[in-house]
Amino acid sequence: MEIISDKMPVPGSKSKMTGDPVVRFDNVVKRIGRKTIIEGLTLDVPPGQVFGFLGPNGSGKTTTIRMMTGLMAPSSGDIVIDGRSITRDFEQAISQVGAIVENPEMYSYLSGYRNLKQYARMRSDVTKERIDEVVQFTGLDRRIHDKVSTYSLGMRQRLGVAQAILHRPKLLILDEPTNGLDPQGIRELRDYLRELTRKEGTTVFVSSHLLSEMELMCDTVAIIQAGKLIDVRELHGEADIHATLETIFDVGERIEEALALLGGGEIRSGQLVVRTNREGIAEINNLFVQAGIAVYGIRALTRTLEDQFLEMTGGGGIV
Amino acid sequence: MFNFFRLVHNENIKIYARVRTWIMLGVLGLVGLLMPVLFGYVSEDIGVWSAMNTLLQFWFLPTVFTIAVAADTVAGEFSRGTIKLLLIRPWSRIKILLSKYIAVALFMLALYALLVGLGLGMSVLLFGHSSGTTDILGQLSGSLSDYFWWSLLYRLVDCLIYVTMAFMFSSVFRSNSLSVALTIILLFMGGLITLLVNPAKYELGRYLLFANMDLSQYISDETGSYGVSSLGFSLSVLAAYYVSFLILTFWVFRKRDVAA
Repeated sequence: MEIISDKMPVPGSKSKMTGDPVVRFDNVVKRIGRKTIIEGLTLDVPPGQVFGFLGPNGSGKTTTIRMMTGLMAPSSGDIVIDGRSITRDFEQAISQVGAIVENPEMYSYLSGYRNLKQYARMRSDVTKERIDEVVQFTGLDRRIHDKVSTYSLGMRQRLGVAQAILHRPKLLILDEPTNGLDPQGIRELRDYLRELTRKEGTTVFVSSHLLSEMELMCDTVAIIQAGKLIDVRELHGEADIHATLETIFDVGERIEEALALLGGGEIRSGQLVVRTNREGIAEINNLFVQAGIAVYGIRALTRTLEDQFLEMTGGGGIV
Repeated sequence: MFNFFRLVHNENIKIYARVRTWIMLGVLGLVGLLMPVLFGYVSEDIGVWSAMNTLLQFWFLPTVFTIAVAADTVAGEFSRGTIKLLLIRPWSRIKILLSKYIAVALFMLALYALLVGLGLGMSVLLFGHSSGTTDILGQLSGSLSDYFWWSLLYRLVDCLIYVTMAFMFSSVFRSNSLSVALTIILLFMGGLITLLVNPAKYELGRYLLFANMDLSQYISDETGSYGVSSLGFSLSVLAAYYVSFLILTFWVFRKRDVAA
């Protein structure tokens, strides 16, 4: 029987690099007035991944994305996309980027199709066939010739994705992409992003404060709080995250007795909590039964990235 | 370079796809068609060019309409938030702003062409046979048609200055209503300001923008309305204002952090 008593190990460590980074943040600082929004962000985004950028509201996610897309200039430091500086070589750097920054605002008096044509005209490499392909892909084909003013938020979000991928960018930047999408749409987006990274080798940079969403979507997550990078970690899939489980044993009144018998675990808000693995659960159950302690229930207290995130950011958030 | 015209094409679409634009065109079309008819009722014996010179009194219509479009072209993108998706394309901000300015200037020309084209068509139709001796503008040297074309050119110069001003306010303040309001206030207050800082009395007044606008003042008097200036001087002052407006517009737009 294995009862793990030390702090839960951090799954994955610093990200391993495969190839040159697609985005390189080099000590990026952004000050607006006397307030420092981003404090010396240094980070490499490896290619071909879905890279999550996680932080509570007001932590500087959108500001970072605005700087990546050249909408804002960093106060100091530089952002290099595909080897080119966004500040000094804007046109070259941005040509590899597709993005949604905050909400996908479109020209509401034009149809979805005419909106896409606007962006297609700004490049030389977008054919009519490509527009149709993207429209098909985002599932907008039936409504694409309607005015955007008649679209729901979810449809605007889809149109936003369509304009972002129109030119097959190497780097796709999505700011809170699941906003306004229904569960079906979120699922589709997730599958699509996976497909993009796998088939076309696109690197996807997604910001979100929805942690559970990021767990399902991302290969690597960078966590930012109050403009500072706190941690970068690879997510190896569910096995690693839930390798050790905190398990609650419901033993009714005989909780102290059970704790003494076990010689481990703790009582947390009136419940016996034991940190162990799969086999351990079965063994502990067996132990209790043999000692005549009735076990009324066993349930896993899984610690998701969300718990870890809240722990790391002190549970608070907006600073 | 070819691709740059696709940017202008985009801007044209954004102007002409809107209902607002077609209301403006409709109003202007009606004025061009109906005013000559009205002139025919008011004045018994009016000639084509007299009618056209009178029609040009409506110059403020295409001017105000173009000011509204110019104010919206930058500020509207900010208020709708569409500026973000526009600026993340492989084009410098200077080129994007320039395409907008060109589209607005083309719109101005289109409005004037519509007013003058329809007005001229109607005038020829209604008064083409008349001798046109009645001079409703008072005594003038030179032919009425010459006077008309020069006045039109000068009105276009004035209009371009006001439109550039609206474009500047739009880029600097990012507020549609503020840009329109400021420009139209200046459009109607200009005369009053010039009255207060009378160029005939004060040297400074000669350098006022408004004292140098309405270049038709030099048609009847080479020294202008105040008798202290010349066409060349006014043109230089206007050019200086024009260039400074544009420099400020582009500089602000290029430097600005976009947080719409």
